[in-house]
Amino acid sequence: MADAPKSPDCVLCGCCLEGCPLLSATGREELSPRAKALLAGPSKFMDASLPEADVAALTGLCLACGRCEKLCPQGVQVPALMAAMRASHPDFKQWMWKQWITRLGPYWSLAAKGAALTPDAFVPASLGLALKGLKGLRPGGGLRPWLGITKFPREAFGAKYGQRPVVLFDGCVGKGPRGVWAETARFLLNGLGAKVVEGRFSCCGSTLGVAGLPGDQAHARVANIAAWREAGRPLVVTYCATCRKGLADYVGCGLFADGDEERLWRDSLAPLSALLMGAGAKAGRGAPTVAGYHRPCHADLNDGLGDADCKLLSSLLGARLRTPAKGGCCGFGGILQLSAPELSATVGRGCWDVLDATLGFSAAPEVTPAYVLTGCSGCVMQLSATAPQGARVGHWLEVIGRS
Amino acid sequence: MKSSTSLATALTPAHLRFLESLFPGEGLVTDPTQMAVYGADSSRRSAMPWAVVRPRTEEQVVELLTWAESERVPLVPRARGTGMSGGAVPAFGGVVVSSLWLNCVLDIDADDFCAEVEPGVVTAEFQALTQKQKLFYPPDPASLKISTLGGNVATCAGGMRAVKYGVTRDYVLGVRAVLPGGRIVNAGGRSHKNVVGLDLARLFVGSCGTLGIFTKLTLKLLPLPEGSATVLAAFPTLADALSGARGVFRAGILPTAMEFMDAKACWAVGQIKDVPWPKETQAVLVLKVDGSNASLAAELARLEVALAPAHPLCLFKGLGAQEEEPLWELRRLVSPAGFRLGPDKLGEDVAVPRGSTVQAVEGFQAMGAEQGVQVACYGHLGDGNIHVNIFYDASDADQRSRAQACKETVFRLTLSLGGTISGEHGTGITKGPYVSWQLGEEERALMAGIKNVFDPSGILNPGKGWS
Repeated sequence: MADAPKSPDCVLCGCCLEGCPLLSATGREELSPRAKALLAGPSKFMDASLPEADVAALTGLCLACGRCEKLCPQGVQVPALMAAMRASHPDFKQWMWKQWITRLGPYWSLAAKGAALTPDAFVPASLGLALKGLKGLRPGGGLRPWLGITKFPREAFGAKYGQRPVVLFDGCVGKGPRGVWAETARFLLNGLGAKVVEGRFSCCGSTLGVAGLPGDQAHARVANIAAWREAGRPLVVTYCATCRKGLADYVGCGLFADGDEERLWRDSLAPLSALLMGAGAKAGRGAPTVAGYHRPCHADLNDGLGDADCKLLSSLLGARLRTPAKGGCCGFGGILQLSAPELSATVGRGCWDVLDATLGFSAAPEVTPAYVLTGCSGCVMQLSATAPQGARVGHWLEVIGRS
Repeated sequence: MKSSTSLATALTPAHLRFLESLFPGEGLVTDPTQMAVYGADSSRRSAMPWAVVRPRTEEQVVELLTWAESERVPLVPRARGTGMSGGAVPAFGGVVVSSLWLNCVLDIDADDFCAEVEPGVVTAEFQALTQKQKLFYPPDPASLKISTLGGNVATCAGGMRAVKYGVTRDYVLGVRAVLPGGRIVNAGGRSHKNVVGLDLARLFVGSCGTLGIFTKLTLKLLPLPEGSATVLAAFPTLADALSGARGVFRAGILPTAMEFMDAKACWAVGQIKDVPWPKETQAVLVLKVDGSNASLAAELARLEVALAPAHPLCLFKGLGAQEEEPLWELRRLVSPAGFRLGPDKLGEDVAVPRGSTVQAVEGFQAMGAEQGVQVACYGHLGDGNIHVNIFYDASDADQRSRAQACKETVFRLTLSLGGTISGEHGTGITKGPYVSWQLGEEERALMAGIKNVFDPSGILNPGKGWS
C-alpha cells in the first residue's frame, strides 16, 4: 500500500466547514478554511495563476482559532499555512510590524492605562476594536471577586505532584494589564500547597507565529525553554487557554535536547483549573444570579483533559454557570482585529448572540445579567471590545477572592 | 434543447454593471482569488467562475434569471460545494449562484409534520432544530454537518439511514423554484399525499441545478424515535460479513443503517485513528437500530444472535448517542482516510440489486488487483449502494490510465448485474460521459425534452447530468 503523504494536502472534502466561525458568521465561502487550503496549500487551484499578494491577503483573513485543524482528516493546518504565507511576504511583515509594534506597542507597555486615556478621535479606524479590547483590560476594569475557596484539593495535588516545583506561566496579559490574574493564580497554587518557583518566561510565541513572524516566535520559544531548564524543569501551570496551546505547540518543532526532554515538557504543561478539580467554593456578596461561560477555541487540545476551566467552574458554580451548547468563537483571531476589524466584529456579534440565547439577558436584563467568564486572555479582550452595553466580562480568576 | 453555442462565452462590462446593481457590496464577487473556491467541489475538479453572486431574496433570484435568460448567461447554482461528482463546478463557464445567504428555517410544524426551509440551511443544524420538537428528518448523507438541504435536494443525497427510511427524495413534499426567464414554480405542498398532476417537486430532486434555482423547500418530518443503538462487528472474510448481514434481515430486523467496509477501507481508517478491530479483519459491519428505549437493549441482543453464525472476530455495542458516536465516527472517516491509499481518487458510488452485493464487491476488488491500483469498497450494504474508491497517483500517466480502465470495468460489471453507475452522488461532470452506458436513447431524449421545457436556452448548469 502507498506510504502516507509526506505533507498533508487538502482533498477538498469540506470537513473543516463545520467548525469555521468566519464562514458561519458571514456565509462567505471564500473565507472558509477550504478556500485558503485550496489557494495556499500544495494543491493549488489548477486553473489559475493568482497574484500572490491577493492570495496572501485572503489567506490572512483567518481567526487562527484552530477548529479546522481539529476537524481535518488529512492533518492540514490552515493557520500554519496562513502564517507561512505571511512570513514569506516581505510587505506583509513590514505592515504587521508597523501596525502591531509601532502603533499598538505603546499601549501594551502602558499596561492598557494609556489606551483608556486615548481619545477615540486619534485612533486609526482599523485599530478601533483592538484598542477597545485593551481598554477593557485597564487596571480596575475587571470583575469584583465574589467566590471564596472553602476547600483546596491539597491531598490530590500532593499525591500527584509531591514536592515537584511549580512555575506559573503568566503570559502577556497576566504579566501586564491584568496583574490580578497572576496574583490570584499564585494564591491558589499556595492554597494547593504547591512549591512555587519563579521562571523568567517571555511571550508564549503563539500570536507572533500567527502574525507571520516565525523568527520572533522561535526566539520566544527558545527563551522559554531555557527559562524552564533554568528553573529545574518544573511543572508549568497556565491560566490562559491560548498560552497553553502556544506552549503545547513547541512539541514536534525540534526545540528540545532529545525525545525525553520533549516528552517531559509536554507532560509538564498543566492548566491551573485541572489542578484545582475537587476544590470547594462558596458564592458571597456580589455574585450574579447566573454567569455565562465562553469556551475559548483553544480550550480543548484533544489531550484528554477536555475544557478543564469549564469542568472546574461547573463543579464550583453548579447551576449558576450556563454554557452554550454550541460554543461560538469570540472573533479575536490573533491579528484579524488589525487586518479585518469588521470581520472580527461580525464574528464577535454572533458569539454574543449565542451567549444571549443561553443567558437571556436581552429578554430580561433585570433578572439575568450579561455576565460572562472565560479562560483566555484573547477572549477576554475581544469579548470586552464587542460586549453589549452593561455587559461584564472577565477571566474566572477575577471572581475568586483572596481572603 | 438549443446547443450551448448560443450561450454567452464571457461576461461583458454591461453584464458586470447589471450584476453590481443587483448584488451590491459583498453580494457580488469578481476577484479571481476570492472566486477560486466557488469553482471547486469535493470532486476535486475546478474551473474559474465568471463571477459569483449571493442573493438574499427571491426577488433577486427572479431578476437574475430574467436577465440570464435574455442574455443567455449560464448560471451554476451552488450551496457548500461538498458534492462528489463535480455538479457544482462551472466546467463550462458561467456565473456561480451561492445560496448561502438564503439560509432561514421558515417553519417547523409539529402538527403538519413538515418544515419549510431556504436552500442554504445546513442539514445537521436543521435536524437539531427538528429534534427539539421531537421531530425527525431522516436523510443523513455523510456530509450532513457540512452540506445544505438545498444541495441535498439538488443531488437527491442518500445516506446511511436509507435502508429503513429512504433518501432525500422521500422527504421532499414541495419545491419553490425560479426558472429561466424569472418564472416562479410552486411544486407540491404541505400535504403528505398529493396525486394531482405530475410530480414536479420530485422532478427537481436530483436535477443537479439544471431545472431551476430553489428558493424554498417543504420537507416531510416523522416523529423522532426515542433512541437508537449500534453494533460494530469485524469479520475474517468479506463473505462472512455479508452472510452476517443476510442473517440480520432473515431474523426479521430492518436496521436503520447497515454499513460495511472492506479490508482496504479498514486499513485506511486505521492510519488516521485508533481502531478497535484485530489485524486479521477483512471486513467490518456497522448496524444501527432505532425505536423505544425499552426495546433497544432487546434489539441489540437480537442483532448479536443474528450475527453470531457468521463468526465475528469482535463485536462492540453502543446504546444511546454517546456510546454509538465513536463507532460511527470510524465509518464516517473512511472517505477522507482513503487518501492514505494514494494521493488521487476516483470515487464511484455504484448501486446493485441487494442480492448481487457479494458478487459486485468481489468483482471490484479483483479488478483493482488486475489493474494494479488500490480499490477500497465500503458503504450502504443494506441498500446495495457501494462506494468504490480507486486510489492512484495521477502524476504517473500509466497509473492514471489504469485507474481509468478500472473505473470503466467497475461500471460495466455494475450494469451487467442490473445496477446503476450512481446511487447517490449524481453524475455531474465525473460520470456524465458514462450516462449513455446506462440510459437508452429514448430515455435520454425524454429527459432532454423535459429540461427544454424548464430551461429552453440551456443556461442552467450546462453540461451536467445526462446530456
